[in-house]
Amino acid sequence: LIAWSAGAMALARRVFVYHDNPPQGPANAEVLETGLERYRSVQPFPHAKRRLRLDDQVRTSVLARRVAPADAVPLDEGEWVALDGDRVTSHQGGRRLTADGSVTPLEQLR
Amino acid sequence: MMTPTVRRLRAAARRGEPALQRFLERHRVPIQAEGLTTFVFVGAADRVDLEHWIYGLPGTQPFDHVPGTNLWHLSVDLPAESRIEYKLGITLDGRRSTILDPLNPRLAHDPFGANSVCSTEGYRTPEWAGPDPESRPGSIEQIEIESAALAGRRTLHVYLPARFRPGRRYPLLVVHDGSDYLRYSSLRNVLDNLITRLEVAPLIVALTDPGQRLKEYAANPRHARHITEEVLPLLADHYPLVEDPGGRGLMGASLGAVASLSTAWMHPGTWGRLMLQSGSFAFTDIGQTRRGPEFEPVVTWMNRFRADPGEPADRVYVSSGVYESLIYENRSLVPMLQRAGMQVLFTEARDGHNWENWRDRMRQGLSYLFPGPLWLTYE
Repeated sequence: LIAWSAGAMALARRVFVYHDNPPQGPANAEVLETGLERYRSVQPFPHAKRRLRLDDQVRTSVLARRVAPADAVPLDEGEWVALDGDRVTSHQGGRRLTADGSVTPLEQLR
Repeated sequence: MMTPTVRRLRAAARRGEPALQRFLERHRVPIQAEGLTTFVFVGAADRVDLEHWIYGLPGTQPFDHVPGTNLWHLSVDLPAESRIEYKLGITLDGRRSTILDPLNPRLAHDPFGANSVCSTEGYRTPEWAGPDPESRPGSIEQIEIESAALAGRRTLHVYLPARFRPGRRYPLLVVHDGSDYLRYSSLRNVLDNLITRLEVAPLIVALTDPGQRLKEYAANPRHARHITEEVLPLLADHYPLVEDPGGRGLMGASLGAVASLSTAWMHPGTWGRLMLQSGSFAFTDIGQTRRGPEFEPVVTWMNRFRADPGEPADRVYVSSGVYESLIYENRSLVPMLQRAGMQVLFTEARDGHNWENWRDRMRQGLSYLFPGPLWLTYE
C-alpha cells in the first residue's frame, strides 16, 4: 500500500476538492493543485459515498468528463485500485464514473 | 374542497367500516393528494377540530362529518416543504378533549408533551440528525457552578468532541436550554455527526439550563453576567478554549435567543458568534406590546437595542419559521444587524415555533458559525 484517501489523490495527476452536498457554498468540485503525477490513468475520489451523489447523472457525468481521459474512480473504505503501468486492477466491485452519468464496473473497461 | 381522493375516502366510509379500514391502510394519514393535505378522524364525536399553531390560519379548523358514518375529515392547502405540529380537538357529549392524531404515528416531543406531525412533499427529516454508526461519539461531563449573579447553584453539562485532546484549543458554544436541545432537537447526534463529517469544527459545547426561565432569559443583566463572568471563566479554567471572540458563541431558541443576543450586547467584545433561532425579539415602535406582561423586559431591552445595536458579535445566524408570529420580528432584526456591520445568514422555513424546526436548521447554522475543514481535509 502506497497511499490512501488524500494521499492517493496527491499521487495522481490532479488534486480535486469536492463535495456534492456541503452545508455551505455552491458544491462545485475544484482542482486544488497539481498532483505528483505518479500515475495518469486513474483519478481517485476517496470518501465517495459521503461526498458524491453518484445517483445524480448530471453531476456524475460532469465529473467523469472533467477528469477524462483518466478514469474517475470512487473509493470508499476498504476499496482499492492497483496500478502497474497501464494495467489497472481493483477490489471486487471496483467502479468508474462514465460520461453518460452512470457508474460502471471498472473491470468492464479494462 | 372535495378532491377525488376525498370523494373516494367518503365513499369507502359509506360502504362500511371494513372498506374504510382498507382505504386507510393504503394511505398514510394525513393524506397528501391533489395538492391538499387531508386530516382524518374515525370515531364517535359531535365535533372534530384541527388544532395547530400556524400563524396566519385560524388556530382551530372544524372537520366535515360524513353523515351515518364515524368519518370526519378536513383538507388544508399546505405548501410544499411544510412541516406542522398539531392535535385534534374532539367534542363528545358536551365534553372536549385534545388528543394526538390516532391515525398518525409521527410525533414530536417538547417540554409540554407531544404533538402529531405532518409534513408535505419536499420535507425530509435530516439524516444528519439521526444516529449514525459511522460517527464518533463525543462525551458529556457535568460541572457544578456556584453563581453569585443568579444567587444559586447551577449545573452545567459540557459536550467534548470525540478525540478531544487537552493539548489542542477548541471553540466554545454556550447553549441556552441545553437539556431541551439534547432531548428534543437531537443536539448530541447533530454534533457527533457534523463534527465527524468535518462539516463543523470540533467544538466544546456548554449546555446551560435556566432556573426561572422567563426572568433569566428576558434580557436580564444578571443572566448575562452569569454566562460571561462566571460560566466562561470556569470553562476556560477547565478546558483548552480558543482565546478569541471568533471562537466563542452563544445559541438559543425563543427566549433563549433573546438571552444570547442580550448577553453578547451587554458584554461586547466577548462573544463573536451567535445562533438565534425563532428569537422572541418583541419590540414596539410606539405604544405597548400586545404580547403580554412577561414580554415587557424584552420589549424594553429590544427598543434600546434597536436604538443602539453596537456590534455584539461578528457573525450571526438567524432562523425563524414562517408559520410563527415571530417571523416579523426576526425578519426585522436581520437588516438591522447587517447595518451594524455584522455578517448575517438568515433562513426561514415552512415550520413553526418548535424544537424540530430548530433541529433542522442546525447543520446550516453551526457550519456557518464554526465551519469545519470539510473542503480541504480527507481523512
